[in-house]
Amino acid sequence: MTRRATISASLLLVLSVPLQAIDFNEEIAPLIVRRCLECHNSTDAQGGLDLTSLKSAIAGGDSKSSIQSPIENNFILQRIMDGEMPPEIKGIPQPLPAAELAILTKWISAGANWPQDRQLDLYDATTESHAGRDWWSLRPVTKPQIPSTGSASFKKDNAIDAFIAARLTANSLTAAPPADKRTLLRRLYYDVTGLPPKPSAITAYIANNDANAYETEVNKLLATHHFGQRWARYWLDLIRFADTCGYERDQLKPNIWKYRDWVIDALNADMPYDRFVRDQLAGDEVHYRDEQSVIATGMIRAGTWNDEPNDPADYVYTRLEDMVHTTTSAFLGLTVKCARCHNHKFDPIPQTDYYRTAALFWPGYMGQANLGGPSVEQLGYDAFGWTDRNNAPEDLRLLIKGERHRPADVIQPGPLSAISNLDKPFTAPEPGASTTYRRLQFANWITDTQNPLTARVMVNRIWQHYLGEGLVRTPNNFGFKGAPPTHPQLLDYLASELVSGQWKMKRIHKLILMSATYQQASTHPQQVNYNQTDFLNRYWWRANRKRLDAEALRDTLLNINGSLDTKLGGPAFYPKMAPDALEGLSRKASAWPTSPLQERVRRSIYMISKRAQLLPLMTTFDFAETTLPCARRESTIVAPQALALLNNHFVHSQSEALAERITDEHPADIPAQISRLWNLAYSRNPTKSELAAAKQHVLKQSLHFANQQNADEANHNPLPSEELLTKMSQANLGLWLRADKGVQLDKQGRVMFWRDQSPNATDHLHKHDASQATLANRPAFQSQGVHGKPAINFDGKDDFLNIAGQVIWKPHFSIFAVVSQSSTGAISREIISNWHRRGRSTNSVFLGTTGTHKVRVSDAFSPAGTLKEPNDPFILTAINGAIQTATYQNSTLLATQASLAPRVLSAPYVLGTQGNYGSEYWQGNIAELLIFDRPLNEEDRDSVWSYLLAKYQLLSGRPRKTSDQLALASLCHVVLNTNEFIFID
Amino acid sequence: MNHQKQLFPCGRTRREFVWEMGGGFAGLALASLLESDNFFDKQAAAADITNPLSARKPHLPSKVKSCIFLMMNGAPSQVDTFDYKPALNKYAGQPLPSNKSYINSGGRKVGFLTPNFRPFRAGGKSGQLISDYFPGIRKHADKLAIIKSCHGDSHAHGSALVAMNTGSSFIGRPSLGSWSVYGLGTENTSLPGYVVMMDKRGGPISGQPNYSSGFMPSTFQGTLFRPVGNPILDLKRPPHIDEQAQRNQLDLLAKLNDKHLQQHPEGADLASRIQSYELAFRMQSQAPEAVDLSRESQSTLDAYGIDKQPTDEFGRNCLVARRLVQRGVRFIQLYSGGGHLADTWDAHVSIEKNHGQHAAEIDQPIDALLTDLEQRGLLDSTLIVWGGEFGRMPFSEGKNAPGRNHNPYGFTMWMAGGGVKGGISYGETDDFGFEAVTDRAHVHDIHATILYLMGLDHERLTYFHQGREESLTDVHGNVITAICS
Repeated sequence: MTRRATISASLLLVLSVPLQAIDFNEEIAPLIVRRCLECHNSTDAQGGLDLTSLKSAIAGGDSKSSIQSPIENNFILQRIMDGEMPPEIKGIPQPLPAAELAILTKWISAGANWPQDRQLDLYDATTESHAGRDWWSLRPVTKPQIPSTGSASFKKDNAIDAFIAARLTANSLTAAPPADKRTLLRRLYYDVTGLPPKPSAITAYIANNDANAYETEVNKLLATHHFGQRWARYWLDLIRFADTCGYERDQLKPNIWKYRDWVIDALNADMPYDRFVRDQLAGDEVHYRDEQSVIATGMIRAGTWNDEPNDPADYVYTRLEDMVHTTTSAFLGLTVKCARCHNHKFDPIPQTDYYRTAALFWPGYMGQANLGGPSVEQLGYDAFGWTDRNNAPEDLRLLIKGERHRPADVIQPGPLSAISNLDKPFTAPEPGASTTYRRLQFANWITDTQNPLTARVMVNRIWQHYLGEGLVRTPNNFGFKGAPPTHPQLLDYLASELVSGQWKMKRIHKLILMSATYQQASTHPQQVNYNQTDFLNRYWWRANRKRLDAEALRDTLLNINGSLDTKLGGPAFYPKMAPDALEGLSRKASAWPTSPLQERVRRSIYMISKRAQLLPLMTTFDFAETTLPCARRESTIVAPQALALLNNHFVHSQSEALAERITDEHPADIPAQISRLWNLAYSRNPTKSELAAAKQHVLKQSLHFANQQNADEANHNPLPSEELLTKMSQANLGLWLRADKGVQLDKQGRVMFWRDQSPNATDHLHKHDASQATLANRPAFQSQGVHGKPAINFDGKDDFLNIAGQVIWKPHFSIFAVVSQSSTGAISREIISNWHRRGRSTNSVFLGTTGTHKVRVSDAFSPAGTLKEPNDPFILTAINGAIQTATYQNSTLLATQASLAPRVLSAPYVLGTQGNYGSEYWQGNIAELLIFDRPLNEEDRDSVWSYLLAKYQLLSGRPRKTSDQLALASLCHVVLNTNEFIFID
Repeated sequence: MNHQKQLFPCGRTRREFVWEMGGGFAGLALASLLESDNFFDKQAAAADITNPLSARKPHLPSKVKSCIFLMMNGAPSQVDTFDYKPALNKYAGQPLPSNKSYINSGGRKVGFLTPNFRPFRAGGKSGQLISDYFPGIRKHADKLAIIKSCHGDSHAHGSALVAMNTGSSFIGRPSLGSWSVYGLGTENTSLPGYVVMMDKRGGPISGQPNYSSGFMPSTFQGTLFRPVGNPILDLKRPPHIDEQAQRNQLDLLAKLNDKHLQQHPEGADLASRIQSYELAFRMQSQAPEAVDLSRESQSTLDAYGIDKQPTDEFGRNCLVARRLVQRGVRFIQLYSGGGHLADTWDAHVSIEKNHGQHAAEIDQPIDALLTDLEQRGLLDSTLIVWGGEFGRMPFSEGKNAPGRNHNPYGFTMWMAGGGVKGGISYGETDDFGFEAVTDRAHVHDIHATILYLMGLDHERLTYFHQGREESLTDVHGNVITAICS
């Protein structure tokens, strides 16, 4: 009864719909897709009803009621009318809007005409809840007409400006005036190279009135190698690059730095983007395969890798997801990984597409061997790349709900189905091919000029880094949940330019840089008003001010004091890490092999990114999270950044170096120093009031520091060496001979026994006491041998001591010796040695000097630095770490080289001569000797040196700064903290 | 209405919109403005932009203001501590029945069922059985809700610890503390909202990802806090810059920045950075004060076992934790055990030797912490969580070998304090203490419960990232209401 009543009502509704025929494709298909197909499709047919084809719609599901049933007893329609369908969501009814109901009713009453072959699927059309294959980013790129504007916004329109101006005008906005020349050049330098202009470059540019002066600068900067060093970092973020694997052992990925260098070189050489894509995905399959193209495939395995997964079989699928996600988000701006367990909820990416993409990597070395990839032998090059195991891998099956134990259909590799006109199956590899050629075919599909995503996604990234935001403000999501483009036509214009320009990217860079849009000021006379309507600057009525990112900040700190080394390439360096910061590491002792200074002044892109321990200075300034692709870093402003810039040791060192630089350049001329500082840091001269304030600060601080130093001297009470000794690191200290303890003399006052004072017998058997049974070979004892402290004196002829047991047990060790030399003749002299003419002539361990002032740390590291003041007593330190060996005189670095090849460590060791050579006797004093069975980190080294320097009154080689120097450094430090320094207009 | 439409195009939610317009920081500040429906008040935006940690209302009524997570790194053995299995005496020397399947982590020797190494005794009125490893904690039996049916997905330290901290055994997701601070902000913005104190023997396996904020802004990441000296990185001035020298610097800085700001109207970002320096200056005095135990009475120091071994280190951490709670820090994690093997609770070699050492380090301090919080009336507003990344096997590592291997199939955690029903046990393992069988509590359930007790609904606490509403518990997790009062 009720049913009859509603049907009659619906007939009334039908009458209200215009009487022309209903177009199935225009009106019905979108309605069914949007309202019904989610639950009534061929894979998920609830109530048995599948509305994807005429046949299944006639079959009608469990109720067997056809869609073409007469309107009076059309069960499907009835359910809709009753409000049961579409079903309620979280208790809220979702009735079909009246207009749609009317159309549907009319269609059914007219016989529900459904074209015979028309198949519907969920992704047929965009709906209110998801994107279809007609989603904007999946439609072909069409080169739009450049708007002709009569806009007042820009004087000289280039194409970009025409698109921007059109929208500005339409929204009653005007562009900001052009930035002044200084601001513009500074912006240009940072955006293109990540470094500030030299003061001379600014002066020259401002003086240059040539109409092409700006263009000349653009061309020049895009051609410097600094460009690649800047822009490669954005790419590394996108492909979740780091130098290590993460997890417990966080292994270094050997040779992954070559991939980083490949990216830098590719960008510098303006490698076409299609090749850039192809080499990274399939550099092992391209016809021009060579070492460089194989290195490029490092992209695939730059992510995290767990050597101890809970279930290795499951872990293969986790890694596939990482590779699928990285590939599809970096190159295509889509979130394909969301389709691992089910069809994508928002984008036209069926679950099968996920497995099509996963099938690209499935034939690779997915096992746990060799850090989860092919070996150097399998690649044929000394690289950390990717390749397939063979050309015929086992089938990859779709996993129901992504669960490994629920395999379903075999899925063939293929492109994403959403781009229908390019959706063609891959061809099988030639017989005898060494790989499957799947990745190459996928790369070719990505770089097909018809692919609507590739160019759009890439030009959007370039735009974003110059303008501060993308035209699509969700750079890695061009799907339904992403932001629509603010300027779709401009996006398409740039995309078509990229493709028509043979994918050359520098051309797009230049196109953007040459636009007036880019060259606007960052403030606008109407800013207060405009903020009310377009706070987010979506219409680009001004330039976006940018905070320096972590790399630009650190590089600038080094650059403006003249210490930045911008050389290209090579393994990553380890920055100096505060001991406090290392506390988060589970293996702290040998985990951080700080690189020598000459490496630590390199650009930040060469800094090691160790997943378990990133440099706090970098993370504080929003360095990218390294486990997932990152298309846009955060740009936070928080107090820990202020703390870092105020107190961080590195920042202070750079301030002091900057003060030194300006003092050297303008000795005894404070105004000139200040002026130079302003030019280095801000690219401009100080104003009068700034100059006055700066001078006053220097005066005030100088006085303050002078008072402080006087007070310090009045209370001068350096810590006694005994106290420093309590702070000395003694872990793994296996040998400790000190002439003020445990020396036993014979009747002639010669040393017959010297007791090892080390807390640990490293061989767990006995201590390593030194002794000499033969009277003639006993060295002398000097009660005031080194600066008033006792020492053992070796005559350089035949004195030496035998050491008991095996002193060094581990391949990595540290030796500290306090010695003096009474001869610096041409011959060699050894402090400690285990050299033996039989079998150990080239692989022994020894530490000594040779010639006038050369150091030797075994034959493998000789010379190992040059001593300064070789006739004064000194601490000679040799540290053989996991990565490198380093020598120091007092606390000053002498030399480094790669770690020593394995040494023969077994005994016997002697003191004061070259093993059993019967020669190379030490001539001079040995006051103290410490050997650790581990490479000491910086903090621990300092603790040993502090003790020894204080005890033997040796100079650390670090002269104290005067109050004037400190005051100028204080001024530099303030400048490095200012907003003008850290924000780029 | 018109604004509304502009604001959330295409029917997107607020959060998505905020994320889209830049996420992170400005986004967050705007999000809090959106909460107060005052979107266009830019002046307020400028004020708020330095402070994404400002305290926010919880989803649910809760008295809990802080959480202290006592992380037993290395994994304590449940059958030797809180999960008494008398049947192990009967089965001692026999293998685990063959129908019990498990992954033999690390491929270690598989021995025989081995009873608890120390006796269990009843504690409090509730009579909960707790072993002699923890006589101090046993005194608080009536405060504890002991969850004996915990289980997780990973048998390896690295990934299990990351899972206990972030909900996923793969690194890269925000940790529990980050979610808490993201959801609730913090009461004291002169201190970090989320503090982690390591064991001095070393940090956790897998390092930073254990306390990272993953895809959220780094504002929400855990801050390593050292219980002595300078608690935070870069907090201490270099030796020659004393307070006056730095004040001189900040005065010049303010002068230069002010002038710059005048030339840049509407510079909310510039203004907020100026403010961040004053906050940093305050942190320099407040943070060291928080770890300064010199004003604590001798009896308090003694109660925590400070200046006495083996309790000194963990005792200091516990006392600092109480001071941080008093100062409004939202989430505090203390590690017991650091580095590897014997330096952690990873008792492969000997339960008695390992647990004997580690339990002695922490039992008195935890006893003191619970007592102290209660006496100061802070226990109701402080949630205490105790547990490791998994448990240990009921069988030995070889015949008569006194150690036990990893076991993610069943283990014990306990909670106490704010919102927790004390004196109860929840869930059970089988007769051997091998796997959780009754009222199984997955790590996701533990997380859901912790958030719930702090006033956060784990299904509503989401963060929009790369097209998806992410949450700590993903699509899993049920609140264990039985332990909530």
